[in-house]
Amino acid sequence: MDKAMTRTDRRFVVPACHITEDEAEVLVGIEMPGVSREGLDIKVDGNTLTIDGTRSDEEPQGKWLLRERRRLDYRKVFTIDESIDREGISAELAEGVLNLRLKVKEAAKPRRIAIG
Amino acid sequence: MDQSRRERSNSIDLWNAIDELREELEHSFGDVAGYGFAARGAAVPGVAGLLDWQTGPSIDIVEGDEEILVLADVPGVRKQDLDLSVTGNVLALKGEKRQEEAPKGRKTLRKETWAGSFSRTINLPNTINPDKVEALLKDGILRVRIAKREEARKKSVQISVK
Repeated sequence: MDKAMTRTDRRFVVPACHITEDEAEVLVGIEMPGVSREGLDIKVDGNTLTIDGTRSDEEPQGKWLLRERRRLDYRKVFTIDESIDREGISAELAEGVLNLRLKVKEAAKPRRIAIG
Repeated sequence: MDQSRRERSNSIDLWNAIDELREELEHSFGDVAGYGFAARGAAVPGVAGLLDWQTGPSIDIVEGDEEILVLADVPGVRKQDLDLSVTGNVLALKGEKRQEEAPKGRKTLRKETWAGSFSRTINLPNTINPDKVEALLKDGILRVRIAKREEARKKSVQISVK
C-alpha cells in the first residue's frame, strides 16, 4: 500500500480501443467515460500519436458501498507509420467514446493499374 | 452483488491490495488495464471465459448523508438505449451497447471494446425513497441519485453546553 502512496509517476488507465481500417482511412474508437471535450488532449509527435483524457467528474463524498470503477485519467499511445497523413487526423467525442479518423496518404493507397 | 464483503471496514485495505495486484497482473498480460466494459476479458485475446467474468458495466455505490449515488460506466450507450427501474430497494439497470456493423472491406485490427445488451440489478440499502430518483447520462457515465427517506438521514443537533 505504501508503494501506491509514494509512487511519484502519474498512473493512467489504458482505455479500450476498437480499430478498423480500409484503403482510405483508419478508424479508432477509444472508450473514455468521464472525459469531456475540455479534458481531451491529442498530440502527434513524429511517429507517436498520444491521446490524453483527463476526467472531469468529481470524486463523490460519502461511504463507499461498492467500488468497481477506476477513477484514473486515461492515456493511450499509438505508433503511426508513414502512410498516415499527419494533417488529416480528425476527432469526435460522443457519449464517452472518442472516434479518431486517420486518413491514409494518397501516395500510400493501392493503385489499380489498367491493362491496356 | 457482493456488497456485504466491502462493507466490513477492516477489509478495505485488503481490497486495495487485491486491486493493486490485479492491476499489475493485467498490465503484465497486455495493454488494457481492467476497467469498465469487459475490458478485463479482452485484455488477453483468446481466453475470454477465463477472465471474462464481467456481465455489465462497472458500478460504484456511494452513500451520502441525504442520498445514495450510483455511478456506472456506460461509454457508447445512448440515452434511449438505457432502461432504469426501481422496485422496492432494488435498482435494475438494463441497456444495450450498439456497435455499428463494419462495412464490407473494412478490416478490424483490434477490438478490445464490447457491444451487446447488459443487465445489472443492484441491491440498495432499504433506507431509500424509491419515489425520488434522478438519473443523468453524461460523457459515458450514468449517475443515479436516489434520495434517502427522511427518517434515515443523518441529522446533527446542536447541543449547547451550559
